[in-house]
Amino acid sequence: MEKNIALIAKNIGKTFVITEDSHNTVKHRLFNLFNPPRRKKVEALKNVSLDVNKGECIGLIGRNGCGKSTLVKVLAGVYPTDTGYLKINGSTMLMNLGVGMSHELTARENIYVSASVLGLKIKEVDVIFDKIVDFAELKEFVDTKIKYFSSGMVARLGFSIAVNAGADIMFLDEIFAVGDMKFQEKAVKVFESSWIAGKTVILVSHSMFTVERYCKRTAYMKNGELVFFGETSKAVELYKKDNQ
Amino acid sequence: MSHHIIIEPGRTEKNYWKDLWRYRELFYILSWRDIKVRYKQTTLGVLWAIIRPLLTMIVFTFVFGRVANMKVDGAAPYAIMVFAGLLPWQFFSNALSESSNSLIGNERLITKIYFPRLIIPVSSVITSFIDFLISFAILLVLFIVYRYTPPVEIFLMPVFWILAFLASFGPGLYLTALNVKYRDFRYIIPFIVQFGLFISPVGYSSSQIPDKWKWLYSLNPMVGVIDAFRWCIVKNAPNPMLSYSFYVSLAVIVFFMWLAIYQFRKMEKNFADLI
Repeated sequence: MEKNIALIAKNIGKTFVITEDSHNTVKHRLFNLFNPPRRKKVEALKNVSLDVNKGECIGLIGRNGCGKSTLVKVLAGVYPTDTGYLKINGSTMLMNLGVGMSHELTARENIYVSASVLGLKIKEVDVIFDKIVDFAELKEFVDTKIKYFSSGMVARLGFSIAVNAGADIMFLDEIFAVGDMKFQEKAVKVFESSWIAGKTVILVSHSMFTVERYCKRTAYMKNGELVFFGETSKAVELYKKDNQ
Repeated sequence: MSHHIIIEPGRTEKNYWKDLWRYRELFYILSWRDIKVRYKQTTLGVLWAIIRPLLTMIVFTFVFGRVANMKVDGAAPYAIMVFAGLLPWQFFSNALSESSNSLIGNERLITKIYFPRLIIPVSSVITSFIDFLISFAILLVLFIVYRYTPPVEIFLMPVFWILAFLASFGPGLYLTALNVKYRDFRYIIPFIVQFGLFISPVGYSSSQIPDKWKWLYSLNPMVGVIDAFRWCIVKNAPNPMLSYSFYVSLAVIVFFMWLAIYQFRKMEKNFADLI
């Protein structure tokens, strides 16, 4: 196993089984008791293989429903794969804003819950606690229940927790739409300074500008298949061509 | 904090238990969160953990002790006998209803992050367990009110706390897993809890059950637990460990724990898809 490889995925496949609910009324249900809802298979990922080096920033583009989010979730370990092999070197984090937060709890309490869920130890949270609060610009509201927060404040808190909790491999799924303009600028700055340097990032985005700016290599997905994985300019070109 | 994760269809068992250990603090954090959230916006707060069993005890003492005139097996006021059974029973029923809804309630966690899912239902059992320990305080008050001295066996109580925990853990976990796939269980569980109250020796003592039906009766895991609680709290109550029926209950507890962990592990992989 090479040391500088962060992630290897081989022939990953993932199929969802969806039940199509055609009997919506009780009457329908009763008459069709022995004729259960039809099952439909949706192949979300077909034979996807890729490898990511440590410290790389990889872009992931494609149209809605092409399997980007599924791939990210599989790589982060949320979904099990149906087929294939996946090896991850280091801790992963799917950047999710506000996961595990409860509206009845204060910001302080939420920081502990949310960061623990992301895999941090309580002692580690103690260390970065002030950093999280400062970054989110919520110092005066630390002991306020977040149900009194504006949605932007909640998002900022979530973002700040995720940023400061950090992991070796970060999956970012359209995260630059958080907070007001000032906060977004700050978020981008953090992204540039800390993640680009030294961390492995997989960036899911619909913004070609962002992808071209940060990623050397980009994966282009179409209908659950990895059509192209390589130089960003080529991937973007392919994507644009398909969209015409 | 360096670790490797290998995800393949199939062999993940060894990693799972390692991960469970790595995330051990999450048990604490999630139970703590549940307790915090549970009593927010209630005026009486944690006092509810005391009031609920207290009210039930009063009703039961009246219905079974006064109206139906049932007997205490040993020497203690009826209220204390009822309470000794009510405590573990309420823990069991709370654990069942809370844990079975826990995964659905934490849907956002499950579809977004990886961690051993087992932590979520177990944390809600722990939450109910803490409630249970708090309501134990009423027992002490009852002792004073009735000027009652419990037998020495009361020092064995912690052992049976653990037994009560295990007895709730198994069925709770099993129902949790089933509830994700078959939401019908949301409607079945309240029924199990209500019905279970009558087939468990809560309002009456288990000596009321004819001997020839004892074995069937003991298939309910809570029978063994409640009998053990009574033995620790009620003076001169029969020692359950001298009767075979206790071991029937014990076997059922172990069986449920095996079934629950096995089934949960089997279904867990698909929770993110199903929920």
